[in-house]
Amino acid sequence: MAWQWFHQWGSPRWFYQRSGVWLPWLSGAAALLLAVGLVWGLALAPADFKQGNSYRIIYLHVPASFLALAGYYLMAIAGAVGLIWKMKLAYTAMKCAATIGAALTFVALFTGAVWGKPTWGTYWVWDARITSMLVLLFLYFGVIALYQAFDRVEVANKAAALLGLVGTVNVPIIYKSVDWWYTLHQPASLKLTGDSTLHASMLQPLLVMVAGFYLFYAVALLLSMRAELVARESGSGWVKVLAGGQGGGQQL
Amino acid sequence: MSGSIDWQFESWAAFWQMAGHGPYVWAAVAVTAVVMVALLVAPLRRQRRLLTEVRAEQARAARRAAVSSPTNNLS
Repeated sequence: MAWQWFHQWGSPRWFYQRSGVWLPWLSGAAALLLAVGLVWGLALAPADFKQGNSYRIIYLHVPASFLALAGYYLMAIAGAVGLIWKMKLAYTAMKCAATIGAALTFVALFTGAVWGKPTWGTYWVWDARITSMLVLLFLYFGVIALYQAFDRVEVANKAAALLGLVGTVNVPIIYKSVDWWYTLHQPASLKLTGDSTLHASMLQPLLVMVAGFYLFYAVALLLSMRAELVARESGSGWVKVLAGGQGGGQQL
Repeated sequence: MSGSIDWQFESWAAFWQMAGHGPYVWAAVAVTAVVMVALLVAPLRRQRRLLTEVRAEQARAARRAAVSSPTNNLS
């Protein structure tokens, strides 16, 4: 049974069908959480007693950073699954996750910069956390560049998966950088173990935003993978049916 | 403290200004929104373009088949 499940996940057509069922629900939930979290964080949560209103950037900066890191793990694991089981769908996930991860890493760096200006007096500093996030951005760029460098998709898949796996050493460094090198970036506000340093009135909207970003990530990844699968399988029957040229209709 | 959730700003103007931090906060919001919307719109547009190409290819194939078929030559 488990084996059958595994095979289904290897089928682009099956994945396209299933993701089409999930997408409306995921999109609706993501939009709702992001709207609630944004209004709550920007207008309803109290201002920070030290930083004033600039701290409200946390409601974008922290969720984007979380997903930049979680997305890297997802990309690396997808690459490993592709290498081990030769699963093409996993490589598709890896390729799509690279673009989304790079975009979210950029968002994390940008929101950090505009938060840094009123708080630290500078947009940029070569602090350990910020520098390791920049390395993360370049790792994502590396995976994207490898796909463009090789003509043969099989070679590009393997090379990108290897780079992704090697790059995972950077992720724990980013997590621990604020503890190992106490420079400018403030320590983590959210902790899995132990109490958060945020007051509940500020923490609750942040958790809503983090949940919203996770759902958004799922939607963005599924949409990107669906387009990639259509591109890859443009010659196969199910895509022709999907295109609905002759007697097709959007049955999928 | 307990359970009091109130609007933090007196007016819309105060909300935009955020006591001087407005430009930073709204720049962060705007750039994040643009990137997130682009992440959704780009794959949707790509997919639409790909399916249009598949349809065009199908139409070309259908025309070729019609031209080369003997029944058509008789008419």
